[in-house]
Amino acid sequence: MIRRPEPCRNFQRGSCQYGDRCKFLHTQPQTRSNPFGFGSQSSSRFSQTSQQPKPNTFGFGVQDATQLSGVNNFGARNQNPSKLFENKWIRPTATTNSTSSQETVTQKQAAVHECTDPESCKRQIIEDLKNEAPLWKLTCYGHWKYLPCDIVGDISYEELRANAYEDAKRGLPLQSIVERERSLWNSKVAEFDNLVRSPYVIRNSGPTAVNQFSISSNTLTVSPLSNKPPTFSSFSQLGTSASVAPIMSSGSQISGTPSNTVFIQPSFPKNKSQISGGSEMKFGAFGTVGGQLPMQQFGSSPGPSNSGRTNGTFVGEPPLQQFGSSPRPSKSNITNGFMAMGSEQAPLHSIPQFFSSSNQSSGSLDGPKAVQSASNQAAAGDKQDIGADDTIWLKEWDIGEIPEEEPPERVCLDINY
Amino acid sequence: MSGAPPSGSGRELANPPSDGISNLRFSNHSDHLLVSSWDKSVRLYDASANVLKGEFMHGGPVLDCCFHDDSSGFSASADFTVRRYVFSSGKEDILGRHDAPVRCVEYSYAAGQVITGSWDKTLKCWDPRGASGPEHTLVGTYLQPERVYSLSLVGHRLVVATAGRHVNVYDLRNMSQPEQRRESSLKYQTRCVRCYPNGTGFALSSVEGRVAMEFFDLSETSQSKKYAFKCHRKSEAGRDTVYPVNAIAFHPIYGTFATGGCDGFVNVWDGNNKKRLYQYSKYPSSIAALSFSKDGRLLAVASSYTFEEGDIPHEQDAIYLRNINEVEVKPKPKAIPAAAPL
Repeated sequence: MIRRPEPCRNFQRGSCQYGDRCKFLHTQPQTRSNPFGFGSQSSSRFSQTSQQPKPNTFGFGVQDATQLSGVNNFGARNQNPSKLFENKWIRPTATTNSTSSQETVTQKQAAVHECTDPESCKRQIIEDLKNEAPLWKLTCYGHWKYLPCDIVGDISYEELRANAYEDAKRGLPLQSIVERERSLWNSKVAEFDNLVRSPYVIRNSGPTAVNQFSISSNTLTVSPLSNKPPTFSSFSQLGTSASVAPIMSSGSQISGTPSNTVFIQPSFPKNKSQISGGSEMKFGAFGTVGGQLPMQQFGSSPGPSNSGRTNGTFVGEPPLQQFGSSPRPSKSNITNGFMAMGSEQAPLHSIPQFFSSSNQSSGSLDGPKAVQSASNQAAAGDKQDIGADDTIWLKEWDIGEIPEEEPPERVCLDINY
Repeated sequence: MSGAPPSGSGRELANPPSDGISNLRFSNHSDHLLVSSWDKSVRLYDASANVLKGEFMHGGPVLDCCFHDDSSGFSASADFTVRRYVFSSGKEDILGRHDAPVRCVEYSYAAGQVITGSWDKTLKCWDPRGASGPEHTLVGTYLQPERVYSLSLVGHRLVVATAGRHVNVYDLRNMSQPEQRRESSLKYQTRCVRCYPNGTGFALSSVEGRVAMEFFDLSETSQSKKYAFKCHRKSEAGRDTVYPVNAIAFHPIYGTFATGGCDGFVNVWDGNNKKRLYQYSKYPSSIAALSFSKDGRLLAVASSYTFEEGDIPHEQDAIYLRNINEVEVKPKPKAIPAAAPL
């Protein structure tokens, strides 16, 4: 194969998807950073799995290092060609991380992935989400298999169903339930979109965006969010900030998930009612799953204007929609299920505001949450406290049960386990 | 039922629950099948005779059930309670409560305890011999990083899979802290975890149409054997529709396992040789649960829409019982002549 006499940039970074076919030279990268740091978590767990670059037949966890061809590993990638599987199995072997190749040195479990190269992580994320987007969207996601999630706040279909049953028992009209679910769905999808859009962010750099919020919460801004403010700016501030600020603290910890952390933010007033059906939603949260608390509700009382706050509709949807307006420009996703109701618009009766806001924000949900949380928990201050623990704390997901404990406690609590 | 699958799917169980099925289990001593459902009932069937033997009601949808011995069992419900039943006398009582819907229940013969996992992020252990009431029966509460989605036991090991892709492995003899804390090796939400019958590891499935095979032993040699594979996907026009894998069940004798997904298919895999052994014909609805009988001759398949696409019209929920042929579940080792008589 003819190669141009230049070293291949991808290969220098750790992996090149073209492998032998590549037009550029695959010389050993000169600069290798050997990050060990990040990987520590994983390595600590599996301390022994050393992966030698070759080895394992089934490579799971082995670093593909050396070359990981490209981002997609999903297909049998393993360096050991022999063995393998004969049939049908497509082995995904794990993540392809370009950076990991450098790690081979450490022999740690493949997990030593430090995410030092946002580009490759981003590629990985994009590949994953494009080719393997699962049918069920309310899921968490981690781009590197042993690392904590990039997008947290997953909900299982049983939880959604149990909440819906509860709500129905309480007399909530089916339409509102569906609306709520739909909003959740949309906001989650928006979160994923956001992740794809913004490059992988190494843990937090600070909230920046948060400040924009200034949402009712006062302090919310604290949340360090590393997110990429720029992306957010496109959406209404709120929206973006929301995403950005994973609401407080949460964002930062979660490795860069751009906004999502917010999604989970617990701050909801603990409504045992689970699905917030109309209950207080203080934050408009659906009650359900903490999701999206339309923040709008919160400060702004939605009003069509979302003026900046409410999210600019994430993803470009017309901000409005506030009450009454049809919730959400239908996203294709929605059609999937939740639509069943057929009533797209969902008059939103019981939860008018909440839902509507949510709709809009669906994207921005993240933002609102944060806001709320701030208000809620007064967290603003709290939130900030969360430091490294945030991730755990943030991950907490309450369906309609927002813990009211002070964040710090919660954090401590989590640590204990 | 509409669109009944051809008889190749097995015979249908009579008197199924009226709403979705959350889990089903065969007894370790006979062909009794315990089924928990969203219609708030727990039903006991005699699978061979195809007869309903008993029904118990809860206050809310029942999310999981398990046998204690052939005459009694436990169930976990969304009404936050864990109940125990004595089938012969029809008696039931509440063993204990959680602060949120209880998602999983298991009984450990090794420890003589009932273990439950809930969406309140805790794991609780109960002593079933105690009188009713949490003060008598609760042995311990263990906080988890997130809501518990699935549990599995083998020997003295317990594996807990929670939201946020956490996996904790406990030693039942020392529950004060997990023996291992891991993140799932899959990238998306975990659906189900099941331990291998030989106790060396566990299989984890997720919503992204993948199953990961993991091992408890942290040594390099063992960890090098772990892998993951894709399954339950439908390829059309270059894109895959990726279905969640809801259920995993191990064959008690051969150690091969079946997986069931939202695509309505049940596949049987040989984990050691990394092959698929068989695929059963498509069921009318998503597979919510699977269970092999104790002798491995029957497989109960719960074909019950799991609401992964929200509230849409769906096929009737039903339970099918298949008679298993050896060829479907027996591993075929890499060929050595004269091996594997079939």
